[in-house]
Amino acid sequence: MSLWSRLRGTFLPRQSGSNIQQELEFHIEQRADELIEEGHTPEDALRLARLEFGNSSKWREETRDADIFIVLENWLRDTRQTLRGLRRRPIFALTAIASLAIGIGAVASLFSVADAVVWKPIALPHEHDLYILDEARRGVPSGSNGKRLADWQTLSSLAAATGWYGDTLVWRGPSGNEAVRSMRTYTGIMATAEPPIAIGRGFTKEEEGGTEAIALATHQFWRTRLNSGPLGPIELSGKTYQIVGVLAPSIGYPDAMDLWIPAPAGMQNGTRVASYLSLIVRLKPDTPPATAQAEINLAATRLSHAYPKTDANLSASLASLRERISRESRTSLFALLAVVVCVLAMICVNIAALLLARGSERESESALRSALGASRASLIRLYWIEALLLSLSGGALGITLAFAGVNILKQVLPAGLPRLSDAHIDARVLLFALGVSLLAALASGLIPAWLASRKTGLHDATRGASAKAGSKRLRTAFVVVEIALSALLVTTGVRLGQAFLELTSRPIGFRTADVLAVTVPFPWTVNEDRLHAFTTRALDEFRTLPGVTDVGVTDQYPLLGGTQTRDVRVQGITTGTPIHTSMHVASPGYFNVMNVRLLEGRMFDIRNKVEEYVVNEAFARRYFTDGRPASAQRLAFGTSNAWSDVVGVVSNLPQDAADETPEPEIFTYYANDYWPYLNFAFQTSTPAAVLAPLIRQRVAKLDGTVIVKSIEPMREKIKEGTKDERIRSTLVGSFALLALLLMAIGIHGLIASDVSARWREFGIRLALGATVPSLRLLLIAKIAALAAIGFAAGITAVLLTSNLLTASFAGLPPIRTATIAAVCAAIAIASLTAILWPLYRIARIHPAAALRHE
Amino acid sequence: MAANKSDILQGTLTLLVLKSLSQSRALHGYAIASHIKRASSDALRVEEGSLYPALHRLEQEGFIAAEWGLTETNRKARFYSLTRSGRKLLRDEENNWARLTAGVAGVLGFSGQEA
Repeated sequence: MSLWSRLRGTFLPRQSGSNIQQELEFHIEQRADELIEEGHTPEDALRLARLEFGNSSKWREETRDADIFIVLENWLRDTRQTLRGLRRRPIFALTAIASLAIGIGAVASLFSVADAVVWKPIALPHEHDLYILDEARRGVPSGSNGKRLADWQTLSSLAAATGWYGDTLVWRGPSGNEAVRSMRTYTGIMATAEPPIAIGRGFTKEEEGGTEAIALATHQFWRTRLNSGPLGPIELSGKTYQIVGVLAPSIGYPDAMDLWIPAPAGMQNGTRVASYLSLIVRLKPDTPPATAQAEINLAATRLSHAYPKTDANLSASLASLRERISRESRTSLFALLAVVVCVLAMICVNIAALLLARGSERESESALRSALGASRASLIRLYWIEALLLSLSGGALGITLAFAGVNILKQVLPAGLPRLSDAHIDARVLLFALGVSLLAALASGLIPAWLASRKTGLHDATRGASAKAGSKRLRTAFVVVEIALSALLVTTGVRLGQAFLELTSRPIGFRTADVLAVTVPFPWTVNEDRLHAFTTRALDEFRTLPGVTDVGVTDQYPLLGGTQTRDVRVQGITTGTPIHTSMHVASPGYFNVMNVRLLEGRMFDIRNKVEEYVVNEAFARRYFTDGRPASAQRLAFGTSNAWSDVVGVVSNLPQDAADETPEPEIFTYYANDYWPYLNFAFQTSTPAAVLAPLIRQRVAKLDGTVIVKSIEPMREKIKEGTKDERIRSTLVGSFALLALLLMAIGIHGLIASDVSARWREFGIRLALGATVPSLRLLLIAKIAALAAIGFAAGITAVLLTSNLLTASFAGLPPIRTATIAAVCAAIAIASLTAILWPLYRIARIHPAAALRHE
Repeated sequence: MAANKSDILQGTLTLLVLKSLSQSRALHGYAIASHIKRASSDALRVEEGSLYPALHRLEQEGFIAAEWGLTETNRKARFYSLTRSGRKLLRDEENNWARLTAGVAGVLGFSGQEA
């Protein structure tokens, strides 16, 4: 209690002036009462009491001196003094502020991203009752369709259910054609989400069915692309939609959409075979998820039996929408946040070490101040203000850096991170940064201030020794901590780098040089004949462009994942459960461009006018087990008995850089299937910049409602597949380098001050016959001992956090001896480099001069 | 000179305040002043001009705690009480005082013998 009141007395004004006034009035009244009892009239008594009391205003101020504004004044005075002190040491001040700014800026940037991605509410009224319903067939995730949605909507534990799919439409905007991202909603969307509407109205029940061409604009789209103008018609992919309302700005799901548009009625009432729909359901209030899940399980079994052709082995599971949004990103974001917090801690430790060194210089000042009556608390305050000023300036600068930092993170972090685009510096982030700055001030300043304020007598000759030894031990401990943290961060950085290198150094098995990736997305509602006519004519047109050797089309480039899966049976081989396998569309040119070899048989031929299939090597090896050639095999899909020919086998194309073994895949001619997201591959040595305008021109000529989404070299395009690995290793790697640098600065500071303090001792040693190399060895041995302890602690930390790290960073390679050896070498080299200058200075010690050195 | 007689020796005000507070649970400023006056049989008079700054200083240093409360006559007053560190300070001050008075007495006694 007394400590608390003392602290409060040091840091906070205690009492307002009117309180003091009140207390004194009480005193006077009390005295007046006494005087009345002695026989004075009340007026006389009061006058006398006041007279006795004397000039109350004079000592009211004296009383206050011990009190209110004096505290503020003390802070101001101490601040002024500290500022003067800092101005005398600009290099120290600037380095400290700059390093704190980097640390706080990085922490604040990552916090704002984590805040947007993980913590911010979705801002839908029932967000805690909203769940995603994941359908799966035989345990393999698959999408839903309108028919099954209607089945789920009948369940009694659900208040409402709806579905949506994403679609890219082309908007004939004021500045030419632009791609807009639309969420195609199904019936039930308003009842399920109950989205807050900022302007206009939502969809009516009839409109949800997709009979009207209407749309809801997201606030972002309305503000930035419609310039906050009046609601009106908008032309999308050749069709006019009426915008009936604008959604509230804060809605956080689904992410990065421009418009909500009811899916066309034909789509909503489409076939039970389709599997592209994402389902969102809202549980009835107070319904436990387990109860709803039980009902869903029963319904799934019922559907499996009722529709064996399409719904066999159906299962569906609830997943909280909030959890889903942040699940994947949470661990790796938190790991990154932990890394920058480590770096910030090292920055604080370095500043603490510098302040400690300064504290030893300030001993005589402290002694003088306390001899003149300064209390311990006021000394602590004076010295702590230095750390506080540095931290607050660093924090202010850090926030300005964080504005840039958030933008950089938005560029480099995987775009798949939900709600990443929402990340920005807001009041929460500012408050957080202020908190971090204060913490940094406490972490870096409190111990040095405490030690520096130790009461010592002016005359006490030995006073410095114990304080100095104490602060010296502490600084040594700081350096050990820094070495340990560096070891932890560098090891993690190196392992992430290894993971990335292993991914990218694998032979990829296809051509990337002189290949151009051109993406042309059609809306999902495009008519199939129109799509295929466009594709065929575009392939012909593209082939005539200058410098283009060959062109092909596919649904998805290698290394970027798959698109569709199918249940397939091989005639005479597959009995029972069909094979659930990946399915691609392609034109024969695609295989030529990508340098995929035909291993057996021939390529499919459009002129044959029948469905023909090509399988990859992995598929042939695994499933064509009867010894017959591939060209003798036949396939059928689902439960149908329409058998089609396999005509050839091609070499494997990897779907995922992390996959050790290639996925079995089936290819069919693009006109045999419907896939409107067209990915063209050009074989050409003409630069993208030269071809781009020509390609755009040809596409516009063929279909005015569609636009080219991207044109880039294949080498760049497929980097998206390893983007996560590259980014995390770059981010963690650069922070590890920063940590190494901070460690080196810490070591340098310690040894440099050591050399200064022992200048005389070294002089004596030299005079007594020691050699410069032997003195150097002394310092190196000292640093080596510290490094060994720190390194051991760091590696222990690596081992202790091993599980956490593997959970946070997928594909992290095991800790290898070589890795540890490399980190050890890096730390040894950095430590040695850090003490080069102090080592060099030893050579300049002149014994005679050193003895007179003070 | 007569006026000086009732002045309180520099530095002893703290001791007197602490001692007064130690004999009761909580006292307001006026009661402290009256107590000192009464206990010293009117020999010591506390100047209000030094009493209140001293009280606030002691409070700020954590030796006494203050709280607003009501007197028997239902007036709002600020009541002071000793904290644990205040009790310790009182012990130290009492010892100091005992040493000082013993010392002064010794000096006076010694010079008296000389004479």
